[in-house]
Amino acid sequence: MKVALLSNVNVGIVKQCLEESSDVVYVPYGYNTWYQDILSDESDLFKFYPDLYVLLIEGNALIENSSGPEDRRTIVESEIEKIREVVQRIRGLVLIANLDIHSHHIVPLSVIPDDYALEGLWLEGLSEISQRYQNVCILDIKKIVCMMGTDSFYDPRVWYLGSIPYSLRASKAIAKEIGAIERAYQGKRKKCLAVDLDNTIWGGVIGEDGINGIVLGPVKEGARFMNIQKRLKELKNTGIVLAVVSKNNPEEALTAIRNHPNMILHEDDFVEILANWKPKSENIRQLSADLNIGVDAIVLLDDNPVEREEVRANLPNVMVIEPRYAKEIFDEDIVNSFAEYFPVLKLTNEDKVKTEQYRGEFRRKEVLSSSRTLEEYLERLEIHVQLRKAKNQDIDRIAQLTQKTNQFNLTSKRYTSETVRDFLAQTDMIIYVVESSDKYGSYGEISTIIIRVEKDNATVDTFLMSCRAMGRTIEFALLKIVENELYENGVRRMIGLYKPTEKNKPVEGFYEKNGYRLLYKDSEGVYHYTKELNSKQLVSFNLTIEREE
Amino acid sequence: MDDFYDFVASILKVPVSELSSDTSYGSIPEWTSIMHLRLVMEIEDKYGVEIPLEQIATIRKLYDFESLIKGSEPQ
Repeated sequence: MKVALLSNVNVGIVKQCLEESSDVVYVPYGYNTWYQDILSDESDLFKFYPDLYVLLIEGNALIENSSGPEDRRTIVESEIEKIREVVQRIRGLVLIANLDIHSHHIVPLSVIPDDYALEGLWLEGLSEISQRYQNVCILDIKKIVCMMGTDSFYDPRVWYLGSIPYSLRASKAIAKEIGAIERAYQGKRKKCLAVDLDNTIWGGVIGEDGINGIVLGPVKEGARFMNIQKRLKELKNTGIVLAVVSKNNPEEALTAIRNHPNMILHEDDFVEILANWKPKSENIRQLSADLNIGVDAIVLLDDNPVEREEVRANLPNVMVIEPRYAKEIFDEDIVNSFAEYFPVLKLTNEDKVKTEQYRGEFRRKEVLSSSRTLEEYLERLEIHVQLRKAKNQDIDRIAQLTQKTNQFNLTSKRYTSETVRDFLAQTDMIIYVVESSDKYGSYGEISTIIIRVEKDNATVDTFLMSCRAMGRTIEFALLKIVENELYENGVRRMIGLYKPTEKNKPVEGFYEKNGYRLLYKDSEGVYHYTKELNSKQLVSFNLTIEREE
Repeated sequence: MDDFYDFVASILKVPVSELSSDTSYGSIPEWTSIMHLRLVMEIEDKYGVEIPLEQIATIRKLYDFESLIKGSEPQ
């Protein structure tokens, strides 16, 4: 991403650290020029056109030359006012750091310093701004200071030598935090957390201790496991799917999950419960197949170092949470894993019903295996598809689909919400979204088709469909409907693009199957197809398709 | 100390073959003033040494870093 790092101090080392994670970073020459730089259309900052603005105002430098408590309040308030003013002009994501103030003035012990009051004043202004502007988030510097301690966070030597307030560790931690927010912004998160049972979500071994012997309750050791379950539930509520992968007899595992009075997680919080005696790596493979997601979208939480090693060795693409203490999980391990593997900025409606959606998928698979023909299967599912033009409220979901869809994705172009917003405003761009449901529930918005129209040519910039809707022949009907729609608006020639990736093999030959002719393969490996539109086509599928203006 | 040059090369992002004990501040474009401070902190962290403030400004060559690290090693 293109990151503008704006500060009142020397942030050169944070810049270097960010560059090491492949960001392109711009830091203006000289400190504290951000206000003028953002307001000017002539500044290098403006020309850099950042995706992400990071406003890293350092609190101690901010009030360094203040004359007293009143003055300090004024300085903080006027700085917030400046931020409020510039934020209106910014289209990309803006991260604003909170303040950590530790004045080291010598005053009698009875005097309460105004440090915390100033931090609070800043935070109030910041909360108000971030609530008003959707693209503003807080960069939680204070959290890093708390974790690291003031002595480790600041290095007074490099402050006096080079106006760098932060220690090396602090600079690296700040860059890491910015990186996590970038990943969240780009929608790069894992999809599923596979959790062990014994000594992970309860204490003890259910097969030996029985339901009355396992440790799970409001006090002492039992509280450790209740807190773990609380964090797992919170994680699930952000759209991450939980599954059980445990070496146990299935009946015993299920009895405890269903009947233990202190369970916070219930059976339906898990998309699947794999309790058996197979190696964990094998169960994770099974999980990946059942959910139709890659193993690299799965993370493992297990208290046992041997199990963690087994999964690492056999499935190197599965991320394994390494707890702070080798043999014990604490809820903070799950909190940390959120930033590392599951970061998200805002929740879409899709995120809230993820588990239910995946579970519906199982029932569908059962119908599939008991249906004799595809037609019978589709009929029994009672599939309902609705195609419509995208509206403002679809923007985040469309961006999310472009970021996350790997298999049925013809061009694999990744867009941020800001870009989608721009597309919607352009008259030559048409964005369709497709919602779908069947008798087992809604699939939500499963597909997006982005078209660029030039005179009577229409190029399919993006055509993607989330995995769980694949294989139901909706895609062919959709393309025809879109073609008919475009034909009615004067389009006579379609251009289809296919860019092969490691993961989109399932859509190889998609355009051929739809009557497109290969034109050429360009220097970037993209295949260009074309099809003339001479009349409206019959859409003869056993699906209900609705259009809505 | 064998890995000293590899370590420095990884910070400066230059091939290790371009470095010698004579490599000095400003002699390669990567060794800027900000990189100088970064190098000081990286070397302190890695080798568990503390480089005094007045020496941070006077260090010029990789050789100077090497002697500081060696000076702190037990005999």
